[in-house]
Amino acid sequence: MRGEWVNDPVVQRFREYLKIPSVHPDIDYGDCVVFLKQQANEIGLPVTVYELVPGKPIVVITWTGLQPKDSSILLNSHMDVVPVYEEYWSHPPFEAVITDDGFLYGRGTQDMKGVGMMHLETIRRLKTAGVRLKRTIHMCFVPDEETGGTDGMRKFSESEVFKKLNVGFCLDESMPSSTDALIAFNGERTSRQIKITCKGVPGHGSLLESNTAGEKLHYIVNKFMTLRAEEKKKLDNGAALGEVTTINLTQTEGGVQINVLPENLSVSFDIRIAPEYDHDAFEKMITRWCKEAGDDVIFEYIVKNPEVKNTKIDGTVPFWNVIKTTVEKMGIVINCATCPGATDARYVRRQGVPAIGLSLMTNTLPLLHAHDERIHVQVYKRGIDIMEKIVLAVANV
Amino acid sequence: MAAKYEDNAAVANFVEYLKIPSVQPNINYDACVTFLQRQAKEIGLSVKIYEVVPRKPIVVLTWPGKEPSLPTVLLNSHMDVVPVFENSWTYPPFSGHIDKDGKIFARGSQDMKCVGIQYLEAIRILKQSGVQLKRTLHVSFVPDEEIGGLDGMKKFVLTNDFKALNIGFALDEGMANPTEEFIIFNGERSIWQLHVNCTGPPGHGSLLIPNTAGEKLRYIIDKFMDFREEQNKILHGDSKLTIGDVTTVNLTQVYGGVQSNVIPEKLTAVFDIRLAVTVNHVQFENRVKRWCEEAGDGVTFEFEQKNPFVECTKTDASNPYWVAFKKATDEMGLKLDIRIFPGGTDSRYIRRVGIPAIGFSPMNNTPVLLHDHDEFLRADIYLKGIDIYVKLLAAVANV
Ligand SMILES: [Zn+2]
Ligand SMILES: [Zn+2]
Repeated sequence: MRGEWVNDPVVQRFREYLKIPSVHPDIDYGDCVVFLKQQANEIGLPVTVYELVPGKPIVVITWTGLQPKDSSILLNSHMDVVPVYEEYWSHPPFEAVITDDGFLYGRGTQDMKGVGMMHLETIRRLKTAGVRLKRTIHMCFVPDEETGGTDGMRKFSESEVFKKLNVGFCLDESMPSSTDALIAFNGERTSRQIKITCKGVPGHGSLLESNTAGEKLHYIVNKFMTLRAEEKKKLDNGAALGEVTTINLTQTEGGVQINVLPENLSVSFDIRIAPEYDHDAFEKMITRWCKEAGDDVIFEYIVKNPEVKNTKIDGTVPFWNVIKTTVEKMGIVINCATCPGATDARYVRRQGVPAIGLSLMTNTLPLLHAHDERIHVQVYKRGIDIMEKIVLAVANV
Repeated sequence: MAAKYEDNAAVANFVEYLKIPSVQPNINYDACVTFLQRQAKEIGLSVKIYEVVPRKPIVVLTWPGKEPSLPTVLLNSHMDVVPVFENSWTYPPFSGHIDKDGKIFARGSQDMKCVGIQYLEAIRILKQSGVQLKRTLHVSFVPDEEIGGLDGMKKFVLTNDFKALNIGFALDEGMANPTEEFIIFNGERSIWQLHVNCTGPPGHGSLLIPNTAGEKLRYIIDKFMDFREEQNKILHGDSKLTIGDVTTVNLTQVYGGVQSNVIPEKLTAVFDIRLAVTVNHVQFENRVKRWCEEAGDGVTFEFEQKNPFVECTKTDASNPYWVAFKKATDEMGLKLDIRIFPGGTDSRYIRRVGIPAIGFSPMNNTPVLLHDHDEFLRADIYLKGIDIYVKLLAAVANV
């Protein structure tokens, strides 16, 4: 069996992509671009490389549809992968080793070169079979998703070039599922990182002044951590992580000397607001807490992502409807939820484009960002089968 | 008015001392030592310089008593002063400028170069009047009180040189008081400064993992700050109490965390605590231990400073020096207000080795400006203080 997999050109192409160490930090995307251009050539599709930021190429391979004026389908994946601690790996993370039992090891197998290759293999198969789709397909390979996508999908999605692609629907990543049901993501929580600075009267540490920074910090920490405890209760009672608002106290700083009342004490919180929350009300609540804490308690955003509405899965987005019916026809269950983390899909949704995260990997232990990230060759190949049906469906809506 | 004090030798001496910028940090005490050596010579006192730590001189001027084998009286003051923000001063802080109301402006005018010179001026008067006291007086001038006295009085009290001084009673600094009463300090709270380290598993900021450093820090801050509020209520619930009578807690520093989206492995809160003299130290430490345990695994505390329990100096008939002190002030018609010192002074080191010590700076009707901008002392208050010491020293040294 192993020999068969190793010699399988479908697996070979995947392995070739995995062997490119496009790993953070300071990635040279040159080899990725060369590889993707070669893929496009082999399939017979035009490729355009956009460099909105020098050294941060965005590779777009386009297959024009029968009705090119219709909005297009974007199949998005990122080329970058997160760092590795090689000593913890059973097989080198950039050698794409296949074990006797069929596991393909490599950083990016799950997150998300595997998904990008499923896109490419699907299109290769359809085109080779002489199929023509109604809508145009753009396969997009972007840099720097793992560091926030600022110089990648964020800039690209806001560009004129992106508008010209006339995207009507986008597929991006989700995560592997350890059961035989698929996981889809239709939205993300809103990431907000804030720093609250409590100013107070300076003075000697031996007194009991009122209006001290310490008292204000006490109030603020209590408010946030009480809310955290409430949300944690929801999680402990079975709510999905994507449906609860998470709060974490991540940093504290302030004070000059152990016996001196500080003028400033500050505390930072990482907040992920669940889609169900009224974001404006949430901000007002923080403002109110700061007021209640006392004079001169101010908060600033370190990160303030705008609220992005989830892609609707209530039947009003036809692309989702056909995905669901297609996989269900194959006898596969698909569960759609809010992504607990953040992906490039949020930038696409921000432009008003419906986007679904879909990494077609069932019965797979999720190892995104972990050691020994791997995928079984059969899971990968079945993913291509499912992707083929999905692309046929969404591109013919 | 200023002209009135121009020719006053006691004021001139005070101003000269104030002009020496013996200001923290990194003080060169040479000018102080030279000045004090000259004072000793002029008054006719012997002088000895102890350098327990190099460049940290302890200057002791001695006036032998009639019965030199009796325990002596120590008159202590510190030579150093706290830093200044010169821009916030009306007159330069090391000018000793005397304004038309007779206010002498300088860093150290209240804390506490005044007291050091007043001791000397009182002795000068006593000596000039031909008096000899029963007990020996040692007038000590120590370094670095303002930074905790670690290289000054704290070390000095443990030396054989100090033991050889055979001290039975000490006077040290008190504090100004805006009303007519003079404040007397007979004890200090114990300073406990500690870092509480809250550790927990690291992780991504988008998760809600249990047992995080942040949750523990919250618990710790809660406990300490709630206790602070209790003490604050006690203080404000009884008009007779002053700050020295309650235990104070202040959150003075916080640190920890690596990135705003990463759950940190460690967060630390730093508290400055002053234990009231009535607090049982063992019980209080157990309470802190319990809070840490309740906060969760991996919550520990470490002391940056932990003062031991020190008995207050008795202000009753059991302390003959106090009886003499009280009698002298009663005779002068001075109103006294006995308190526990809110901060820390070198007196604690003296009391720690079993010597009764009273903190007293003769500055009534004076706003409290120690460590503040525009620190000043009115010349008339200063001169009145010398007269007070003339009586006081005679009283306590004749016990
Ligand atoms: Zn990813
Ligand atoms: Zn002082």
